[in-house]
Amino acid sequence: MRALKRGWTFRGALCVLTLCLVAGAAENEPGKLLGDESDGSRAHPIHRIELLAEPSEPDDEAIKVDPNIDPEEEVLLPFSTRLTCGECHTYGIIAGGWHFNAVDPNAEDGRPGQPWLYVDARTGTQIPLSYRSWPGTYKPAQFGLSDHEFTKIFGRQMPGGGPGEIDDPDEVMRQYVTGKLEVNCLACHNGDPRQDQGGPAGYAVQVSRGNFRWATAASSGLATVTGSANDMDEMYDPYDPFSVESAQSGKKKPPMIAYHKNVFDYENTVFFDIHREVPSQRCYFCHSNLYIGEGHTEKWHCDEDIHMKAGMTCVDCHRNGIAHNINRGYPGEEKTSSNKLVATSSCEGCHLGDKSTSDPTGGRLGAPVPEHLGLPAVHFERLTCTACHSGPWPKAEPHPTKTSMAHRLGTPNVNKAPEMLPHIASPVFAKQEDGKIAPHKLVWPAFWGVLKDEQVEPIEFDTVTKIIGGLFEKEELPFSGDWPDFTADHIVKGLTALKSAGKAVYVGGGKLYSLDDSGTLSEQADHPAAKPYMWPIGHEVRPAAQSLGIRYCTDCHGTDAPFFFGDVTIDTPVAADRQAKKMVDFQDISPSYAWAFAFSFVFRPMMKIVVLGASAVMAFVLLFYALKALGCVVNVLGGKDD
Amino acid sequence: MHVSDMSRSISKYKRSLVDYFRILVYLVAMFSFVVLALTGFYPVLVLGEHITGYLVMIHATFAPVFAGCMAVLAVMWARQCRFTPGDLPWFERLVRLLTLTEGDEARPGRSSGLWQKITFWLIIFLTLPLGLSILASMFPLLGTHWQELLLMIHRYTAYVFSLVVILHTVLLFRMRAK
Repeated sequence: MRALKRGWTFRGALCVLTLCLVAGAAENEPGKLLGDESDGSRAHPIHRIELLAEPSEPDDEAIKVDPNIDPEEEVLLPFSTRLTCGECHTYGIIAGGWHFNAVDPNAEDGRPGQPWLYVDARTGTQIPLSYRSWPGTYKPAQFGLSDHEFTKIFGRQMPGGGPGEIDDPDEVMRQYVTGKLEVNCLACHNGDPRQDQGGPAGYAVQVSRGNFRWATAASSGLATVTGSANDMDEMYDPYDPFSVESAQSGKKKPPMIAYHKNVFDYENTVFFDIHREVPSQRCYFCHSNLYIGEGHTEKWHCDEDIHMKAGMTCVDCHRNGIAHNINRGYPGEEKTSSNKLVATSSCEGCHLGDKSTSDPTGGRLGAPVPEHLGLPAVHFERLTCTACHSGPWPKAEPHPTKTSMAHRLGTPNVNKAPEMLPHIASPVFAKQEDGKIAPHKLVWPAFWGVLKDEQVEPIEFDTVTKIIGGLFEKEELPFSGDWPDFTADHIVKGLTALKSAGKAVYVGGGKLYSLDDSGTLSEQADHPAAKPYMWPIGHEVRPAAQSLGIRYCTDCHGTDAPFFFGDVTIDTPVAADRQAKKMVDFQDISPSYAWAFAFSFVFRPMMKIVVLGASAVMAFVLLFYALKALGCVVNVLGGKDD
Repeated sequence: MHVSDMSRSISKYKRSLVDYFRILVYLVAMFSFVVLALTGFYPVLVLGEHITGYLVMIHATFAPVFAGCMAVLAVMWARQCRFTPGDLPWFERLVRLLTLTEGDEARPGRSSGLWQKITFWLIIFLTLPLGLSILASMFPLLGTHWQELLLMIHRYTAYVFSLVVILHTVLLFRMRAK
């Protein structure tokens, strides 16, 4: 036993010595921490580290987490990633990465992406929100959501940071109780199968309970967290043992952490199974899609992205360094991103190579160079790669689609009904900013607002709830989570009630409803605020054998092909206005032209036969007279004067 | 039959049904050619972009008509346009010189039908790459690089083809005027 103990002591000493040597030997640039720059080894570094918790005062020293403290003397605190991981990785640099920098007004917004969708069926609200300035989205503050409230609602599927860390002068006390939602490094990098993002006591639940300070530790698999910061009043002090003990004796429990006994070693250090290359399952928690079709409502009905099935992971393409400036992988990203791999990480970049360099960069990671047999080159000017290769195969109507971020997939008590709001449709083939047609996910905004200088400003949601919530209280809400059936009368009532806010309008189903001076409801169909919000689809990529056009041109150029003539349902709480628009309406192409062009493909086989037959006749005539001419030459050369 | 019969078939008063058919085919071919040239060259040479929209539909509609007419004209005019000893006396002399054979002096050629024959055979010859280049691109046989190459072949063949057709037409009308 003593020998065993001696052995462990020796190994421990050796481990500490090795870490010290590595730390000392690594000649970091000034200002860089040990883990800010790789030394080039592809081996995974071992993370056996001590846990540090946030002190009650920001200027105080970090508190070392010791599970053996006396609870009457001290409060057992959750570890902080800012302090624990920040020992070796500059937290400030990481927190400026793509997943955390939406709140930074200087951060590049890039191509429009998926917004956060705030939904309330009773008030007919379905509004796209984003801190980024993507056209068609609204800032949470415009909708009356503070950063704290926004984090509590949507932080479930955020890796922390961003709005969760902003100091809110109006909510200093509340923020002291809940803590900040720091960047949750483990949400992505933890290889421990116990990492719990969506379990009953996991990250999402902790965030919704306002346990921002505890959420990372609760999800890490190292500890269990109970209680709720939401239930604590603003005078509650989570650092004061007396305050905690008093709260514990109450009906509503304060947030408490209990570390699992076996995670600490004899030096109170903890082993983290950190994966530099993030496992795809971690990405899926926030980035899953469910395409609902005829009888296809479960994920096993649909295949995963072909790249995943080929053995790749998300981060093989979506890479980043310490700056966490992950590349999104769309063409043109190099114009705004400082990530050096963006040019070769898009579909084209990987499969064809970066044409701006002289080095052969195509075929990265074994990407096959596409042949595109029989595909006229003009398609590459008009379409993105994803148009033919990504998303579900288009049907007569786009698929109702659920996403993790919109429908909180993977968290407890999700309404699994296909009709559950928000209503996202995909694929919708629409022209994007670069002039190419790409498949998009689409959502029709629906919200109450005021018209100021022809611009629509959403009315703060609290105001809407107070004024309209009561009006529509008796409306029966479908159990499926679908819209209630609004009528024009509902809109009139709502607009009348909201008159005090200004020139009240209701946006829904692509229309702007307002009351004229006589109190009559009027509709405007082309107002920019009523346009659907669309964001391009990148995944799931289908194999070449399932790409559009693989069977014949009429996969797209058919008179009833969904690519041009699919019916995109106009989603709105107003039952009478639930109509449809043709896909071609989103493509800046004349519908009659699209139809005529598609119709011309009926005659395409005949055209081929005629041209081929005519060519054969001409070739025969040429050959016949060429042979005759040859005969003459032979005669002449043979001395036969004919 | 001689190449001048070609113009004769258009201008002579006493025509058979075949002559009428030949004229009809010729006129349809000329009209198709004009439409194809306008729809094909206007977007590329004037607008600097690919042929697209309704233009491509018109282009694709007249293409098989034109190809069909060319096939008919090839069959109907080929015999008249075959080269005869009188067309190339210098060539005949050269051959005799090289092969040390003797024979009658070359018969003097009738009018200037030689260039019409040459342009006729060029037209028939160029119609093949012109049509087949675009036809081949419609089958799932060739990849992107070849698609681009075929388009180039189609485009540059069309340039040469148009020049030859114009020359042929000028010669035809000149002969008719004589």
